[in-house]
Amino acid sequence: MAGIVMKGIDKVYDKAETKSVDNFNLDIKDKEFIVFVGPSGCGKSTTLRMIAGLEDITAGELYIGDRLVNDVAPKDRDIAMVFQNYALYPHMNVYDNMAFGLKLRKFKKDEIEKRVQNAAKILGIDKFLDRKPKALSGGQRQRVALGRAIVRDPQVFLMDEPLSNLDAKLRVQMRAELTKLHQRLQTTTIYVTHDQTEAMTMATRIVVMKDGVIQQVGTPKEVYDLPENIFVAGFMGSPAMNFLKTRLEDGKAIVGEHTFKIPEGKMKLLRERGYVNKEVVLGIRPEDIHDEPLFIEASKDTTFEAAIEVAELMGAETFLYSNIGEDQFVARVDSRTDASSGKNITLALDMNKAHFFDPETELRIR
Amino acid sequence: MLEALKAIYGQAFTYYNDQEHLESYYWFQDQAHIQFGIKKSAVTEKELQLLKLYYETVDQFTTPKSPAQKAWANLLFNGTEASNPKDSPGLSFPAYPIYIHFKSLPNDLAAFEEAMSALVSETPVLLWRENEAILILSEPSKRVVAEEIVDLMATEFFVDVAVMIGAIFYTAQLSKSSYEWHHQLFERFLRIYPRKRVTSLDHLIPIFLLENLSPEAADFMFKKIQNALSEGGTELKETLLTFFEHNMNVSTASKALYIHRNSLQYRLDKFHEKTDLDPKTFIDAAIIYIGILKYSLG
Repeated sequence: MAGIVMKGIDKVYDKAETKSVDNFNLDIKDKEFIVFVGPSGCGKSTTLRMIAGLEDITAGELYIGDRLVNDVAPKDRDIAMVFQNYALYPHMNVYDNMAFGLKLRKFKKDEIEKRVQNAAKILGIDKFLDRKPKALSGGQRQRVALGRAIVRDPQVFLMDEPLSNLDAKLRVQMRAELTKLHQRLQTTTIYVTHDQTEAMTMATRIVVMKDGVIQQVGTPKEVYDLPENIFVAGFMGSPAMNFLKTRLEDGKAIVGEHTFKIPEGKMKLLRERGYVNKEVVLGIRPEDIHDEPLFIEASKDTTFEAAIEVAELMGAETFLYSNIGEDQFVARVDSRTDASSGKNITLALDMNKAHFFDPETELRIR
Repeated sequence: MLEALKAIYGQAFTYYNDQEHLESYYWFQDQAHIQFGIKKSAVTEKELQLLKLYYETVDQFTTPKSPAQKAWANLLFNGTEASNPKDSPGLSFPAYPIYIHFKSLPNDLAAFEEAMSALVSETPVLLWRENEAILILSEPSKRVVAEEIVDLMATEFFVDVAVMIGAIFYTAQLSKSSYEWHHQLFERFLRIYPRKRVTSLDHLIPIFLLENLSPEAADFMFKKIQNALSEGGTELKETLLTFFEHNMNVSTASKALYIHRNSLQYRLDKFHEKTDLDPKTFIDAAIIYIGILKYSLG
């Protein structure tokens, strides 16, 4: 097993006007489960492919362990990859599917047998080794694809959207299984996804990317609670954080016709940074907008009336869609709420949880 | 490097390793395992020693071996078929080609052949031309097979490939010219879309049509699209292409772009205002798509 160090990595495709990956710097510790997350085209898969050696590195240095691998052939990097497509051989049984890569690398028969049996046991597919992929469920097929990577016992696993082909229920199940698998094998893993929930639930650290540039690196909690900028704040969390155009006065945030008291701790910082009497963006997560009478009673300085346009019952919770000032917002409240579409209700912001962003730089004010 | 060698040796240089060339040529492969031959009579003893210093000699040839491989290679690369159909037992129609472009060839060609047979569930006719493999299948392939080939090559063989599902060969006639069109269009695809890994000939047809359009005509037809794209930059281009890739579905496209559906709506409306072309209607979307393609081709 090994850590990975990326120093100033750039990727520019032939004739491209812009960098697909721009000055990527990251130090991945041995045994970490790192997730690259971002919208499509943000450079996360390109970065993974550079680590794999499938793409040339335009500039910068890539180390796996202590070894500079920029010019090392992919097969010699001691990595194993898992992709979205299972890419199983339909006419080979599970055993042969998992053994094929080892045969290619001229492993001895008894070593192949040992490794396949061991991986199959870890993945709970040891009873299916004689079956053809057609006779397996989607989740079992994905396990075979994982098994193919595990038998190699690599220093690093590289996974590119490996759960995207599974239905929603199975994806949740496999997410937990992958986490358990990582805890058991302790192999350094880099996992690419566009799904922020996967990132939040699986990662030891998350790398949020946009337009080829790292926006933030941190633990799931850090990225969620202390987003560096509006992009990260909006990308992590579902429904996304609400952003409200706000004018700051000393102690108050003015949103349209509504005034919200800002806790002194937050106001002190805003004052020190010179934002009094200036425009800012107020970020508030849907779960930090409340409709419970007790909270409203205790938060008289942060309440407002809202006309609910749509109330979506999700089961344990309800999403309320409405407008405040010039902006739309969504509140995530308990499903026992009285609110319904077309009704006016009182809501309160938990201003202790509010974030403030500079409207020009889009960075969190800190 | 190989181009420089080709320039030096001219007609004595070849990539085509059929049986006849095998015997009269020295065969080498470069770092990407691309095999090339130089006519023995054109190489001095010193040059041979130098070539051996720079290149590996070939140990496993990509030469057509089976009767079917030979028949298809003759047909596609030379445009010749046996006068007696009994001499070409491997030629059967319709045939469905898949083209695989390699950055570097896999180390073990026999294993590659085995993997392809196992994946497509038949023994395909496999031909090699420089860094391209052509699989000739007896059944049509779905796009997912092409995607699986890409992933399989990366996970099992650690090589990067792009795959094109070709148009059907209905008869032996015109197969050579059809192959040449495929080859040329695939090369253009690789140049224009260096990040894409899977395509089909059908998707490349607009490129072919556009390249035969005079600059004046293109300017006349697509100027307003080009102007709007110049103003809107990469973001507008990506927005429109993603919207089209999602079959003009605002919800899924806005999710993929990570913008609010109203923001996507706003961008589309703005483009409509500027160009009088509405991306939400099929015919206008088709014209905008072709315009973007023309803009990308330069």
